[in-house]
Amino acid sequence: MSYLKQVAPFDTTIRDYASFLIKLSAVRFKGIGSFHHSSIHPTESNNAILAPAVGPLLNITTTTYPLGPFATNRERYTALLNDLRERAANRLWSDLNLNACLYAASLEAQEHVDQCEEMAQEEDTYITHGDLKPDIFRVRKDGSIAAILDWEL
Amino acid sequence: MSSAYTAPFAEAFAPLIWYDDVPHQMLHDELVRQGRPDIAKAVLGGAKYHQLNFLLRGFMGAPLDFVRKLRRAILGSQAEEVPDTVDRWLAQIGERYPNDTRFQQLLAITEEDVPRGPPGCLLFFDKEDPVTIRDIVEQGLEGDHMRYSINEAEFDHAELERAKRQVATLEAKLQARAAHVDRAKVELARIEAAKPTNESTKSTVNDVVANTRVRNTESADQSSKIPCTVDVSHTASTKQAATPTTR
Repeated sequence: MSYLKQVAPFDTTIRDYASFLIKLSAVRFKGIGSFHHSSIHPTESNNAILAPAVGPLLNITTTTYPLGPFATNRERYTALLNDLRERAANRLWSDLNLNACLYAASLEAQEHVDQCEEMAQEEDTYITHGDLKPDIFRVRKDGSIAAILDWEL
Repeated sequence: MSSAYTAPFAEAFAPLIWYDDVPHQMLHDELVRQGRPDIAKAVLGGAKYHQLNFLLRGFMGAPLDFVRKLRRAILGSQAEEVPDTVDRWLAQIGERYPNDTRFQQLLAITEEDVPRGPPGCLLFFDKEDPVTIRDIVEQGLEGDHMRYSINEAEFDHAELERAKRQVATLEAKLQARAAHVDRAKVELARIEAAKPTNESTKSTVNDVVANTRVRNTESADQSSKIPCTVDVSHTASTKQAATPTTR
């Protein structure tokens, strides 16, 4: 049983979550990455609006610096899996066997990424939460969602 | 990843990671009911992104379970079965990538090749000038990492003796300092004992004033023997001291 199912009328939570996802689908971006301050300032001539820009992907697990932004998920996962192999080859993890397993799994994952047509598509992008686990929810007693926390935007 | 980011539709609407499939199916059905079958489809197809992001964080759990879930998430029913042991799976990948020297090195190294460190000690290497564990083992390269070694053969006994001597020297210095401090405390106590209190200071001033008057009025012979006798009855400050005002 999941955390949410134990604490609230779960169908209400699911209904609210579905509505929330539908709202998120209305906001579109270009590129895969994290939000940064935009260098474009709205003026009368450029007709721009004040909005965050999609920049390099902030990722605490990469070796040195943020990678991206990326045009496709294939580009993104290829770069991040390369980085994972770099870390495993340098034995970042103290468990020797884990380094070999992570390296092997990243090679296998790369094969799947290379073959997955869905990941090769260049398309509009949408905001997604980076830590998709149930404790980011604050749920009322009736099961409705009061807040979704920890976006770290 | 720990912060929000932008992703293509199929990943952006991958749902929360629940640990069974029932909530995913409920969310799918609800999205269909609310008129969004496209998001509903992304919900059921989100597992491959979950698995990839687990991997990028270094979370594998049991390796074979992870590989099985990854294959099923991406290939569905066409997924090939995983070997029955981790060693066989690693060997299988090794055969597919014979020219990947880094992976072949990882496969060749055993626990015995690795210098042991205290629990929780991670070995980091300079990326610009990498020194691999194989280099250390085969070429006897030395570096800061060797300080963490607890192998008897690699333990520096001379360094231990040096450290012990240094501690003994510092302890002797501390004891000498402590004796010096004790002597200073005794001297301080002696000085403090001699210090007059405020009450005794007032009475001493009054006594001095009174005595001075007495000396001035008693005999000229006796006053002449006191070189610093002052006629305080003519000085304002002494008057003040002799007759303190009440405020």
